[in-house]
Amino acid sequence: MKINLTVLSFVLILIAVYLFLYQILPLYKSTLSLAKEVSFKKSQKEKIIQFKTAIENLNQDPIFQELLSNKEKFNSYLPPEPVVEGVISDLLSHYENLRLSQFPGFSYRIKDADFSLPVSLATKPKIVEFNIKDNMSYQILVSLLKLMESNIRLLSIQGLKVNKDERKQILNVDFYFNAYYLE
Amino acid sequence: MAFAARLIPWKYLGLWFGIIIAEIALIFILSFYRNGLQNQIYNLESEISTETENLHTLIKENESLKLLGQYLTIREILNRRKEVSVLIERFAAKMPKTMQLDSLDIDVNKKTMKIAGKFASWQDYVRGAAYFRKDDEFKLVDQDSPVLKNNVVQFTWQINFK
Repeated sequence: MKINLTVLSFVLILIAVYLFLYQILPLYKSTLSLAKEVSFKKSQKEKIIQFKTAIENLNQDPIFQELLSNKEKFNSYLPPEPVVEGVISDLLSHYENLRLSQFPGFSYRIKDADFSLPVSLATKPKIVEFNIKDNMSYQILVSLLKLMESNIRLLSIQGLKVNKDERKQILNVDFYFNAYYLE
Repeated sequence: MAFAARLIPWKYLGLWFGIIIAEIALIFILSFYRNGLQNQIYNLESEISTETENLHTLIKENESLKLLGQYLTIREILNRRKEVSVLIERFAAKMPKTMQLDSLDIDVNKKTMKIAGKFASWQDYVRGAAYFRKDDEFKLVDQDSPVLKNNVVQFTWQINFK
C-alpha cells in the first residue's frame, strides 16, 4: 500500500512538473507577449490620436494661416488640376506681346513628376509636358523663353532644338517644357 | 523508485494534489486572461485601423497640409529649374566672333548641349575649341570630326553646362 502511494505521489509530481513546463510556462510567456502587444497598440492608438489633434489644430498655427492667406497665389503657380487651357492662354498672350505670327499649337502628355515630397500623403506632383514647333528669330526666341520662365504658372524649359534656316534667315525651333500641377 | 520513495514520502500526497489543482486553476486563469488580451488586441486593431483611415482622410482634406505640399513642390521645382534663356544668352556672350552657329540642341535634365556650326578657318576652329575645352561653365567634352566644306570648317560639339 505504501509503495502504491509512493508511486502515486511520484506520478503526481510528474503531472505537476508536466503541467508547469508544458502548459503553464508557454501560456505565461504568450500572455506576457500579448500584454506587451496590447501596450504597444495602446501607445500606437494614442500617437495617432495625438497626430490627428495636431493636424486639426494646424489651421490655427500662424505659419499655416499665412500659407492659407496665399492660397490663390499658390494655385496660380501650381494648380490642383492640369488646366492645359491656362497654359494656352498664357502662351497666346506671350505670342501677342512678341508680335509673333499665329500660334502653331502644341502636343502634350501628362506624366508623374520625377521627384516626391515628404508631404506626399496629401498631394502628388504631376507634369504636363508640352512640345511646340515654330519659326522665329533668335531675339524673339530668347524673349519668348524669358516670358515663359517668368510666367505666373510655373513652366520650365526641358529641351530646346534650334536649326538655322539659311534661306529664310530664321530659326526652326522645337522645344519641350513642363507645367506642373498637384493631383 | 526506492530513492524517490525516500525523497518524496507518501504523506505529502495531499500537497501534490493541492499543487496540481492550483496549477490547473492557474492554467484556467491564464487562459481566461489571455483570451481577454486577445480580444483587447482585436478591438485595438480595429480602432487603430478606423483612426488611421480617419487620419488619412484628415490629411487629404486638411487645407494647411495641402498648402504645405504645394509650397514644398513649388520650392522643389524652382530649385530644379534651369533658366534656359539666361543659359543661351551666356553662351552667346562667350561665343568667339569667328564662330557661326547652325544648330543647338539643349537637354536641361542631362545638362548637355550639342552644337553644330562653322569657323572661317582651321586656326579659328582650334582657338575656339581650346577656349571651350578650358571653360568651366560650358565645357567642351566631345566632338565629331571637323570637315572643311565650301571653304569653312564645319563642326559638331557636345558641351556640358553647369
